[in-house]
Order: sequence, then C-alpha cells, then structure tokens
Amino acid sequence: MGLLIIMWFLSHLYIIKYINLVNSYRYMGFNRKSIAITKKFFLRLVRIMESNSNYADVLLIKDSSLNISRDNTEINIDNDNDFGVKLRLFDGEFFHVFGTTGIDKQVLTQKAKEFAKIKNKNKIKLDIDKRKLNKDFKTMINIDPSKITIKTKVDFVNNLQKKLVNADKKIINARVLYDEAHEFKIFVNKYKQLSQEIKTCFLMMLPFVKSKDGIRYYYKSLLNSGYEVTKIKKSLFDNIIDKTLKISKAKKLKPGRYTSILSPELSGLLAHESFGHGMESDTLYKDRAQAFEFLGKRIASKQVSIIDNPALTGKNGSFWFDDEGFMAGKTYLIKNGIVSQPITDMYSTTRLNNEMLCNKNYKIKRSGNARAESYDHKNYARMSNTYFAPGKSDVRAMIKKIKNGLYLHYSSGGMEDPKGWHVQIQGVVAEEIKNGKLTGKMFYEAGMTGYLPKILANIVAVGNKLLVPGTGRCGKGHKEWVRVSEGGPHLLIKDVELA
Amino acid sequence: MVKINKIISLLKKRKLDGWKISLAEIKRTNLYYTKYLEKESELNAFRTNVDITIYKHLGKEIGESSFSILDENEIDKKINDALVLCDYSTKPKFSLPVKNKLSRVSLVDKKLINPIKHLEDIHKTIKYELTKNENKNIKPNNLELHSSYLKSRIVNSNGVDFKEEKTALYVELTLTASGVLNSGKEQEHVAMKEVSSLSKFNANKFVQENVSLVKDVLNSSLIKTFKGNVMLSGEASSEFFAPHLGLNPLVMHASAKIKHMNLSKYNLNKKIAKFNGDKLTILSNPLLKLNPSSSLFDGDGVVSKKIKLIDNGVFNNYFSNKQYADYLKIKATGALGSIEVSKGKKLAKAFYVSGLEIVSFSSFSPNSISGDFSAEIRLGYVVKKDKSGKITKKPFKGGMFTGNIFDLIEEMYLSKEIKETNGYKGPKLVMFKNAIVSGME
Repeated sequence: MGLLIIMWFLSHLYIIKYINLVNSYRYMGFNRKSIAITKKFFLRLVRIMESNSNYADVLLIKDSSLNISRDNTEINIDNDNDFGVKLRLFDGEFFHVFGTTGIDKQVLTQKAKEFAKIKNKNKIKLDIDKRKLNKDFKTMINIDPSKITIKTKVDFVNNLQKKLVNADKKIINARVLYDEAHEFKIFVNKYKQLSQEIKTCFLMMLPFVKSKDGIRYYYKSLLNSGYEVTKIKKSLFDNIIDKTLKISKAKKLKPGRYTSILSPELSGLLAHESFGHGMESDTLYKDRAQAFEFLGKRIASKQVSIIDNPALTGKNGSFWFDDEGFMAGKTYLIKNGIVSQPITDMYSTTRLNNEMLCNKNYKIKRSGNARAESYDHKNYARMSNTYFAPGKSDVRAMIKKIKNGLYLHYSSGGMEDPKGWHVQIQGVVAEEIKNGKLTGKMFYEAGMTGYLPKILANIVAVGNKLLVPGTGRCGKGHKEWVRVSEGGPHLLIKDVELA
Repeated sequence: MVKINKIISLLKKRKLDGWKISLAEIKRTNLYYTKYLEKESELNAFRTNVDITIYKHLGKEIGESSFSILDENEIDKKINDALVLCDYSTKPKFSLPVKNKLSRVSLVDKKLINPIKHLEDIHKTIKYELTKNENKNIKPNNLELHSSYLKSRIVNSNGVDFKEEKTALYVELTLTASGVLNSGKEQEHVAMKEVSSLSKFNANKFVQENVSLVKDVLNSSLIKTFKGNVMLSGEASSEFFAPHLGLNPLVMHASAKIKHMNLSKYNLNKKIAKFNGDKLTILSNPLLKLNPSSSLFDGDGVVSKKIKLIDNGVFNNYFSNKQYADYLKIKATGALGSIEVSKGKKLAKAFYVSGLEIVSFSSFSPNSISGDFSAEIRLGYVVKKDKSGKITKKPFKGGMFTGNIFDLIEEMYLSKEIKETNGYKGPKLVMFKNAIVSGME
C-alpha cells in the first residue's frame, strides 16, 4: 500500500486529473479525454502484470439503464448503474481473474502487482491477436433518447398501455416496458486500446387475454439504437391486437409431425439452439458438441447457411469488439450446408488448434465472441446475433405450397443439447395453413423438438427476406446471461415434431 | 467503497417523505476446470450494489423511484432526479415496513467465506473418484466450482435496519460416457448442485450418482408417444415444483401482485383444482437452515415467515410484499423461500408399476400464467413390473413431457419420502396419471 501512495505522489499531476475525471465519470459518463486517460492507466496495469512474460488484459464495463414499466395497476421507473473493472492474467497454464466494482486505482494497482509476482508456467502459448489498434467506437443514433424528456417517455408508456387495454374488452391487462440501455466498455492489452459505447432502446408489449382455458398473453418486443423504437406503425399495433384476440380462442395442438413454416423469430431460435451453442469453441474443445466431428463436412443442403455476426448494426447482440479485444465480424457456422467455423474465445481456440486440430487439415480462426456477463464473471465463447442466411423463396409462395401445415409465429425460449443434437423450443404459438392459406386458427403453447441433422435435412425452402428481431438474453446453461438476438428468413421444414 | 452510514445521514438530512437503502456486497471465488479437470481459470471478485428508493407523498398517492449509486458523493443529484421521477410514477397509497424481529436462521458456512482450499479439495475428490476403475469409460468435460459470500442490508426511513449474511456453493460437472456400452457413441450429462454449506455437499456421492446417470444416458433409446403413468424423480421432481427460472404456476397464482393484476385464477378458501389423487399442500419456507433459497427478510425489509399457500388443495394465502399486501388488505409475508410440498401416503416403490419415470429435463420452463408446459427429456426410464413383482427400468432419452400443470395435478400422487434441495423440500417422487410424453421414435 505504501508503495502505491509513493507512486501516486510521483505522478501527482496525472493522478489529480485522473481523480477529477473518475469522479466526473460517475456523473456524466466517459468523454474522449477521460477515455484516453483511463486507457493509459490500464496500459500501466498491463505492463505491471506482464513483468513475468505473462499475458494480461484489463476490461472496464459500465452499464446504465432507464426502465419504465406500466400495467393496469402501477407504473415503475428505475435507474440502474453498474460499473466495474476486471484484470486478467494468463500464466502459461490458466487465467487469474480479479473483478471489482468501481475503478479504485489503489486496489487495481495493488492487485496488478500481486499478479506480477506470478511466474510463467510455459505450458500453453495463447494465440493472441497482435494487430495493434487504438480506437473508440460509438453507436450512431437517429433520435437520441437522452434528448427526450422523461415526461415524454412516461406519457408514451402510459398511452401505449391504455391503448392496448382499450383495444378490446377481452384484453384484461397489458404490460408495457420501455428500457433504454447504455453500455460502455474499455479494453486494453499490449496491442489494443479500445472503447465502445452502445446505446439501445427496447420496447415490449404484453397484452393479457382471457380464454376459456385461463389467461394467456401475446408478446411483441422491438429494439432500436434510438428513441425511434417508439414509432409504432398502426399496422403493427393492429397485428398485435389481432394476434392477441386469436390467441384467446387458440386450441391445443395435437402432437404430431407437421409441415411448418418457421417465422424469422422461430428460425432464429432454431439457429441459436442448434448450431449456435454447438459451435462455441469452448464447448467444442471440451468434447461437448458433436459438431466437432463434422468440421468441414456436410450437415445440410447447400441452401442452408447459419451466421453469427456481432458486427450487424443496431441489434441486441451487436458490438465492435469482444471482451478480449478481438474485433467483431461475421462467422459462418454453417456455409452452404458445410459445418464451417466456430465462434471463439482466446483460450479454447488456442487449445483446439494446438491439440485437437494439429493433425487435421483444419484450423479455427479467432472470432470476436468472448463475452462475460459482467466484470465479476468469466469470459466464455458466446453467440451475438445468430441467424440463417436468406435464400431465394418468397414466403407467400412457401405458404401456397402447403396443403395441411402450420405457420409457427413465435415461442418463449429454447434449450440446446450439442452433444446429443436434440433441440427443445417451448411455448410455440402456431397458426393453421390449409390449402395454401393461413386460416387464422391458432394453437397455443406447443413444444417443438427433434434431432438436429434431421431437422436441417428436412428444410425444403429458405425465404429471401432476412429479419433479425430477437431481443433476448442467452445463458450458458442456466447462468452467465448475455444479450443476443436471433433471426433469419422464413424456413419451410417438413415433419417438424410438435407436441 | 460506498459508506452506508454517510448515505443514511444524507437521506435523513434531505427530510424526504420516505426512503429505502438496499446494500449487497458479494464476494465470489470461482474455479473453472476444462476437460480432464485441468484448471482454466481462477476468479476472485468483489461486487457492491447500493440501490436507493425514494418515496414521495407517503399516506397519499405515492410517487416511487429507484436508482443505484457507486459513490455517496453523487447522492444529492440522484435524489433530485428521483424526486422528479416520483411525480411521474404515482401509485395507490401503501405504507413502508416497520421495524420487526428477525428469525434466527443460520445461512452461513464460515468455510465458504475464504473457500479456495475447500474448492481445491472438492476438485481433487471429484478427480480421484473419476479415476476409479469402474469409471474408465467416463470422462469429465467441465467442472465449475462457484462460491459466494453475500452480505446484504436493508435500511428504511421507518427504522428498519436488517442485516443478513449468506454463503453458497454451486457445483457444475459435465460427464461424458463413451465406448463399450453403445458402439463408440458418446453421451453427456450435466450435473448441478447448489448448497449453502460444504457439509451439505458430498463430492464422492455426487460423482457416483451422476456417473450412474450418464451411463444410463449412453444406454438410452428413443420412445414412442406415451399416455399413462408418468413419474418424476431426481432433479425432475424438484424442478417441476421449483423451476430454475421463474415460478411454477401453482405458486405464481398465489402472488398478491398477480391477483392485483387480475391474472390469478385462485380464490381464497376455494379449491385450486379437482383432486382425484393426493391433495396438494404447498408452503413457502424462507427460513430453512443453510438453504440458498432462504432469506430473513424481503427486498423491502419485511420479515420473512413460513406461509401455507395451498392447504389440502384449497388456496389458503397469498405471498406478498408490503405494497400489494396493503392493496389486498392482507399481511405482507416477506421473501418467498423454498417451495415445500406435503408428502403423500405411499412409499415411492408403490408407484413403480408400469409407465415412464423422468429424472432429468433439458429445461422445465412452464408458462407461469397459463400453466402450459413442454419439456424435453434428458433422461427417463420405461418402467415395467412383471408378474413376479420384479421391476425393470430401461433408460430413454428425447421426447417431450407436455401438458398443463393445472390439469396434471388433478391425477397426482406424491411419495412418502421427501428430499431437500435448493429451493425445494418435498416428495422425492411425483406420479401423474394420464400424462402425455410425446415420443420421437
């Protein structure tokens, strides 16, 4: 501790500036000057930690959000802030990770010095991206929510909630949630000094309706970078009400195999649960996914491609760089039916390439998918925006092809089994297709399951319009939640198992 | 580090109508092991969350707004902002909790405050157990040992000042069975356990039980669609009543908030379903010793108590925070705790006649309002009893257990034996008649 105080004294001018700016961050967020100063401080920590030839990096995460929710009974307004720093050191064998709330210079420097004493064990040489980059990234927004008054936002939520409830007598309540999130990160290692500021506005509408079997709800969520998310077209609103009322009369689906058209929401969930989790490099390295045996091999017809792309603009899982400072980019998990590249983190990519793929004519490329729930969590290889690539079919033509089948609108979630290649998607809301037409007859809360290679082999047609509407959060098992989106074009699949 | 006493004096100085501070300090020590249980990462983290709620116009239509702070020096500005927000978030009047006596329940294992050595010992034991000869076709793919020590405190303007300390240990082990049993194929099983104390975790037993399960997964086959007796045991029975995410609809409909939102199908002192089998009794027990789901008080500072939600099939009591309790003119119940389900009259073995037994789901996530569910089966058994009374169990995997929970409980039978896990205390085995499993064969 004493040594730390001397260091503060030796560089007092810099430190005084730093203290002032640290205090100012807490009120106003980061500006260009404070970002530059923080990067310098983090670089000093990296240099301290790397004194034994170990690899080190520093990540700052600052999340803030304004959340307004309303139903028939009450309105709630919450402001949340979370802010912390994570130090990581790799000693040639495993990572040492330290996370703490806030940015306490003394604590971080002391920890960096403790880490500096750790000897390099020289067992694993990490595959580090050595391209140098010092850059700051920021979301471009059409309508900046910070320029909109709180009254306007509250009025919007109140009016939308009333409008939903008043749309029909059968709607007994409705919940509206408006959430504007502001995520800021700084990443520094020996090669990279990066910052990113991501803003999103999320809107959820949840009308509750009475049916003879009890109470049911319809769910619609929207996401945009700016306040324009609140500009809801009349056609969308009418569609929400129409679906809600149809759900009130929806029947239970008879278990069986159905020729089905999956909406972009559902095709996205299928992409996520099937070849998303199963193509995470840490899952592959741990022999937890069958996909490893299929790297470079055909798994589906040429019309099937699945992509993960955090660089997609303005989506729920979008970012510029991951939590290991690797730049975001498009990864083809399946390309034209061939199992292609996994989504990766640094550690498992190194081990996969050095140990499991060294004798095969195949090398995994690093992708920017190392993500942590927060500064007090570990990085894992995680999905971002995951979707089927568009094909050539028009959805109207796809519907026309079906004599007896279903259109699967949306679901409440899913679960993966990358080792057994079984998929579970629950809470599926479906609509009957008869003689090439949607009949309006709905089925509520079915479950979809199946053996993945069979599902992919049964894809008959891939729609030509890509939508990535997902606004959910993905867990690794039941924990480690990160924001993701999923989507795709419509998919026409035969023999979909629904119960 | 935020100074809580300074915040209290700053809040008092502002002469606000009402306020609440919620402090949580969490220390995490986690060890992560990759395949063959090689260490991948060691994480030590310290998190502090300070959330403040400001109330305006107590006794009338109340304005309420919350914010979190990272430094007590920013509080004045945040209070000013919150007071503005209070004018936009008014709700019918309710009162804040008052000072009360806390129950004395131990929720801390001191060994888990500085747990690194103990976590390393667990790793060693698991590794040793898996090297035994009978486990030679079993491979560990992943092991995570998460330990946390939580200190929380609630202070409000009515004199409430409660403190609680809690420890937790979460163990996640992924095992793969391969080779001999099923022509070179591999199958995995993810074992999870969360406890509050090292004394409640036996690493040897944990490995043995889950090795047995992964062997069965490897040896499993697909089944045809089935209608008849479906038994839930193992983690499936506890997950049914206390899902990992969200609430079972049987509990959700007992929420005062859900009642106030006009979404509850329950009426006080009325049957919740027609019971042709065992009648259901469900309690919320937040005071189980060394259970991670226990809490001495809720997020508003209401003292927790054990409460009977459903008594012999009849809806008996809501669980509620102070706000909704005031709206419904009932007593606030404090934190929702472990779900306790009453035991049945027969021993589990009496249910093994013929049917399916499910021990593990991919994920059991029912719709908390409608009660509809569909859950993929990770491991189950086709159970048959022959004329001599001998029971055979053949493992299966895949297919979906599907239905509506409110319909299912009409023909439900509960075992006499009970078990306690994180968030659940109740029958080891539950059987439903006329239940449906949609097969994949």
